[in-house]
Amino acid sequence: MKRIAKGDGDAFADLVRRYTRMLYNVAYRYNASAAEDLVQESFLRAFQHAGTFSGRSKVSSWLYRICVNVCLTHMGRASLPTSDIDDIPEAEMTAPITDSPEKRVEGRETFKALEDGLRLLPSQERMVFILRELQGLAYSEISSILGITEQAARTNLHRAKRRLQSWLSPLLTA
Amino acid sequence: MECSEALDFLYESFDGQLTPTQHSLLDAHRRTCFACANTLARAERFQELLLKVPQLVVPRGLEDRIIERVFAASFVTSKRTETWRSLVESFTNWRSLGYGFATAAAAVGLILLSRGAVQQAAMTHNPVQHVLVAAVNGDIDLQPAGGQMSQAGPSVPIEPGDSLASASAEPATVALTPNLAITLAANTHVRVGMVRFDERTGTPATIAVRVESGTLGIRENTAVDPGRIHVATDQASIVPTGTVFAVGVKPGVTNVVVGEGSVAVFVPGETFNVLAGSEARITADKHVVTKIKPNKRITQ
Repeated sequence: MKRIAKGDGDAFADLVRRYTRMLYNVAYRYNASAAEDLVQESFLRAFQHAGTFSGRSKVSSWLYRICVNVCLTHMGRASLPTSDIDDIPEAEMTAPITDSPEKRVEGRETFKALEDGLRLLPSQERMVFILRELQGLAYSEISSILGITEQAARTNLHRAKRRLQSWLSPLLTA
Repeated sequence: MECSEALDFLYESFDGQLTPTQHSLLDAHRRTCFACANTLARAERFQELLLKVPQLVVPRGLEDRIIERVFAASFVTSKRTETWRSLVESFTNWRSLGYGFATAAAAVGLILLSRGAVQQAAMTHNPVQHVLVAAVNGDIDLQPAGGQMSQAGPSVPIEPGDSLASASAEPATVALTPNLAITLAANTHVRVGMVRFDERTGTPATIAVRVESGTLGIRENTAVDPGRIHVATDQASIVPTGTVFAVGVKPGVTNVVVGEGSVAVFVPGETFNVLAGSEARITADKHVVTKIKPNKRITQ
């Protein structure tokens, strides 16, 4: 990071190559249509603030924090209306099914339904779910990245899971 | 155990957070509550599903696009606060700049031919030191970051943060690679930004140059060197896509005139192309692209 702060292009390129996939996975799950822009903005901020990296946290945690802030800020700026899963009528509260049952659980349709459900979650629940369940981060790291307590992270995750489980219930029925 | 607690207990169990006592309570509740048993079974299937969600593959070329865009945007978004130095040369005097540019470029070509392989090697990237060595034709002052200004010799190492300034009324040309030369008109000051090298070949892959004041001509053979130089001003970043072009800076305004090929222009929140024979006038809040008048055309 010190080399990047001094304008070392090679070091910056190394950082991008090493961490793009990690940030892309977060950004895409958060907002698929803007994922590339969100990752790009994250790296731009990382480049501009490389000198502020203290080394107390892992580089990955620092980048996660930047990416999360970019995603949350982007959501705040977005002019398109967003739905909250709580505002959706109960009749529409489940993911549509078109595949046969045997194809459902591991099929594309299920993953697509999960992504659709994710976008209906409140921002913080969505981000906690992505970081914990899809990126495999520890609660302590999520707590540090989002600036919330570990207990708040747990509570957010459980709420997100309940909502998603409800959304996906037709696909999860044996 | 209340039904409302059962699901949270199950989620805790996925994290390995349940005590043996809590496990027993959960198992007992599951056996006696049919409704919860179904819900818990779905939760377990949901957890299994999550373990199978694949990590996404990054779209082809995304890393390179990010590097290029960040490279271009990093200068545009860093707003300067100091007052611009006044320009001595009028930006409208394109004919004389074009003539000087062509003369200087030809001179650099002669230097390259006469110095042959030795010069060719000197101007390419040294993979050990990661230093860009440029050939200079004309009077140029070089100021390393934090160092003293001094007149540049015919061959100078250039690093990020270095400043280059024209030292006479005649245009001076700096060949950054055998296929990329910049020409500084009189009273032009540029600063070198980030320099990135190709990992495989060790040659410069991208060179960022910021026009602090004056007029900078760029001649790049993009058939050989695809878009190595990024030129930045306060208003925009300009990236060649096969071209001869020039960038002029006045306080609050950047003018881009394209002689051959085209350039991609990055302004905050937008990208547009300027084609050969066109001129873009860029301010903080708008840009206008017009056809250039014949007497402004850049000639080689």
